[in-house]
Amino acid sequence: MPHPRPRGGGDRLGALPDEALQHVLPFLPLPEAVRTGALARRWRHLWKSMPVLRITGEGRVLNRSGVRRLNRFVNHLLLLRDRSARLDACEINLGTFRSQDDPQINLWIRHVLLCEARDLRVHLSIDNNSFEMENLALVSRHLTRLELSNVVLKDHFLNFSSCPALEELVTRNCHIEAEEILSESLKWLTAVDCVFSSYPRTRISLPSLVALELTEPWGSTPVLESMPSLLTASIKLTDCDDHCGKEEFGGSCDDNACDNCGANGGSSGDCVLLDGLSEAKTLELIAKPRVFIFRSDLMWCPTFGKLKTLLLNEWSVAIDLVELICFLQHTPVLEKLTLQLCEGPVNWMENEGSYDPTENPFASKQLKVVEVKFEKFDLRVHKIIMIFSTYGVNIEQIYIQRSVVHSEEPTDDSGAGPSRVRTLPISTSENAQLKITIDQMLGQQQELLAQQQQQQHFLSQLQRRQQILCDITAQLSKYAAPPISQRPPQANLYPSDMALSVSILWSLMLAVGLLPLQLDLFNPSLGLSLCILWGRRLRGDKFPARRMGMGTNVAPLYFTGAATGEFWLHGGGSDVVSSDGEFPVAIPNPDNKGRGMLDCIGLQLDLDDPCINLWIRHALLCETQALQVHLSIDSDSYELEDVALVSQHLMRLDLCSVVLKDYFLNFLCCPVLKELLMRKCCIKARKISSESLKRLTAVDCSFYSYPRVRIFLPSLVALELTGPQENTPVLESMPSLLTESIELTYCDDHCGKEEFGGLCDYNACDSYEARKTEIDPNKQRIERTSAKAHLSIGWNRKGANRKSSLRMIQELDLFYFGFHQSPPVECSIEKYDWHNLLR
Amino acid sequence: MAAAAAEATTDGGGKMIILISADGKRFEVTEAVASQSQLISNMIEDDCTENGVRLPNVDGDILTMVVDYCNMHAGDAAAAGDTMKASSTEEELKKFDAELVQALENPVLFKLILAANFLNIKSLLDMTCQRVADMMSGKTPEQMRETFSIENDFTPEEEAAIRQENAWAFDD
Repeated sequence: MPHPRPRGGGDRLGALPDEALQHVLPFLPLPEAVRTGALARRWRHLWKSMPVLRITGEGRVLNRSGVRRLNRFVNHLLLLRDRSARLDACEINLGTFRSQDDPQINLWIRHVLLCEARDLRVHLSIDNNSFEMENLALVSRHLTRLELSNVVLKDHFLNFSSCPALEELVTRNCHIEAEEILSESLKWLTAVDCVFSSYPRTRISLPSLVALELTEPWGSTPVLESMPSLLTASIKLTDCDDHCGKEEFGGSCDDNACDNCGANGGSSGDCVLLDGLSEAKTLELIAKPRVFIFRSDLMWCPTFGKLKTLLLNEWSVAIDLVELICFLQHTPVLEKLTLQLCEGPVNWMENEGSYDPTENPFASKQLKVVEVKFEKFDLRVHKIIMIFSTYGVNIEQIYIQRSVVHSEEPTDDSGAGPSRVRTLPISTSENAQLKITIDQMLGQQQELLAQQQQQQHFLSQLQRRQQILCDITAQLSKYAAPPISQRPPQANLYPSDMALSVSILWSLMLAVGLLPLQLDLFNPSLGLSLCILWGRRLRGDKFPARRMGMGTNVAPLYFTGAATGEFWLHGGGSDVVSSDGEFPVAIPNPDNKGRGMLDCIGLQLDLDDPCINLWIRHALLCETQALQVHLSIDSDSYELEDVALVSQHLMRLDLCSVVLKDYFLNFLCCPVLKELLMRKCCIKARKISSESLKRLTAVDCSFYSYPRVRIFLPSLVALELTGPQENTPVLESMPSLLTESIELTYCDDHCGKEEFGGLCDYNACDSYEARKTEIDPNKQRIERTSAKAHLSIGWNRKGANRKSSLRMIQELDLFYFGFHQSPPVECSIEKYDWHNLLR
Repeated sequence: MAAAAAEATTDGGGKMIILISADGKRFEVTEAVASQSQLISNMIEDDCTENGVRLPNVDGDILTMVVDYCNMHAGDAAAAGDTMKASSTEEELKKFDAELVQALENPVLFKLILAANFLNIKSLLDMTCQRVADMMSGKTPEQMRETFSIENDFTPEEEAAIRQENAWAFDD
């Protein structure tokens, strides 16, 4: 489909479709992306629909003001972006922040989840690794990938039951202070360098998991629950707490009262890792020999019914070959076994009687490939080769490599395996040792051959063994310089499918941006029809303040009725002055059907705080139909941002105790605004204008003095102007007006004399002159009100002055005459009668 | 041209697909190479590539670059076709990408973005968009307008109003 090309030809940036430009913007630092809105009309709204948000501290160390600036910026960005635009990914990647205030990451995360973000990443600096993610469950039907680093995660956060689409979780350097990690849908879990809680052990309950990477966990190794779909798992245990000091010296811990070992068997009595891994096809189990988890798990050794590829390191041969043999006896379909024996044993013990060499250790008839990699040829290697050569009936290939594994080398994602193997030359003494071993094996082979002669039906097998031994000999002889090209492809350190899955994981990780969670009270999907912001600021601190984040006195604000389509945010009558920058947004839980109280946040009423303005704009973006902003009386100098409101939906606007200016009171961009209520507002504008407004109520408002405020509302039907202060506003033509109620009390339009009942005849009287100018338009306005219904006018001591202007009214049916001093008198006068009266 | 047999099978295996640019140039690529374009991948799934894939939005010279890029990034799949590119490693790829994108004049870069957007090749789109963003970054709106000849169609009042509206992004 050809895109229409804007003028200017194909050689300009302008030739690109919006879609492509929106793809460019996320690559800019966010503030710069927003600033492109000032480039030209076409760019004005582009930033609002960026599909990817990368919130960064731009590599700076954030101090207190830096954090505040960031909060302010991101809050604006999130609230003002186009909510209907797709949000694919959000990445929050902050450098170190040193401040009592925290970035409002938790709030942002929840907001982007409401925006249906699919990919969320939160990366903090290691200096802030005690940053706690709010302990609330994430709720999103769209989130598929979550990546976190250097944060503290707790129980509710790690319960992903409310994220039914979540498939991948990556945690790096996180503190996992939870009893359970729970998700029905999660397929890939990667936990690198995470600290797990100890008492009790964290349980990983992920029944749909396909791939698991658990690398160097700290603290207590987590317990894996059943994972029937598991294909690959890689576990690497090095510095965890699960080790017993004795084992470092090669001894086993037989002491049941041993604190270290007992903690495992005693408190949980569970198999920690191996039970959960029993369904895997590919396993990589690496541990330092002193870590006892695998060894103690083997007491419950499950059968690995699907395991085809297994990689073990020196822990499996630490005490004789007991563990290795146990594995071999429980892996009926194993095809490939790799042993990495990098770390030489300090004191390797050959436990006599622990293994009966005459017993065939192999459960699998399919074991075809065995690889043994070692740094130093020692007794372990000797014994391993002996076992395999003796009983490896079906083994086709045994590869023995003397090598150094550079595991710290970067992963090569070409699929060739993450580690490189370097072969070292073998010294002559070692060569001699090898020769001896081989001689021994050949000797045994001879014995077997002798037996075979007596047992003809074993003959073929024995020939095969001899063949294998010859293979080994041939290979060993190549050790001085084994050409890599001759090494069979299976010699990769990692099984190829494992490597592939790892590389897939990596690329997935790279492909996705992580979003943290939450913001946003005005979820358009809730069908919001009424939005009310109402704050009260009282002095004193009578109510218990709730502590939130770094906030000081943050009183609870209550949120009610997400499902009813109304949104109320109010101060609960208490002190709602929060510390600076706290963003008072309650988060409706989309599932919350009732009018329950939700947790909330402080409302900031510092006079220079921009938040209320921001909420208003956001509420309008959310297509709010009714907006009420009530501030407390002592903040009546709060100025609403002087920017025109823009909304196709706003019908009712209710304002109390705020200062309003020109652009704000120009409602031309609110074409359906029907009703405007202002109480105790200060109107510092020259004009109030709207084509659509039907009902205007202004109570106790003060109007800007010179020139008078002009009220230009051609569609007005009902007007109530009660107790305006300073100069009475001028009404322009209102052809559809039906009802008008005006009560003038404390306005500036009076002349002192009249208080004493007299009229001012003095033409030079300042007040009178001023009034004259007022009366003129006053006349006009009442003239123009072709009022057919009720005209209610109440005033104080000013009736006499009004008479002149009322004479022109022709079709009045009812005339209410109210005096403040006495009980209001109501009189109903026939048309002709009251004409007379006025004359 | 449409009549030409667009399907061929090389000895390396893998179906070949013919891409036809706006100016009628023809490119034969393996299915694996072409599938990097989500658009073509969908067409392959729907089995409508038999008479070649016409790309009326993409000029021949731009399509040459796109095909080069795809060949380079097709990984193992490319091994069947071009032996020279079969062994491209990560570093080589990065170098190739950097050279490709650095050498581009703006008009060509924008056309390449259009093509990547149309063909829906995410990695190429990301790379080219990143390049544009790099050129935009650090500039004031005035400088950006100059660099990319963007006409300022705001009145001064409108521009001031927008700056005020987005004041939170302008103060630094």
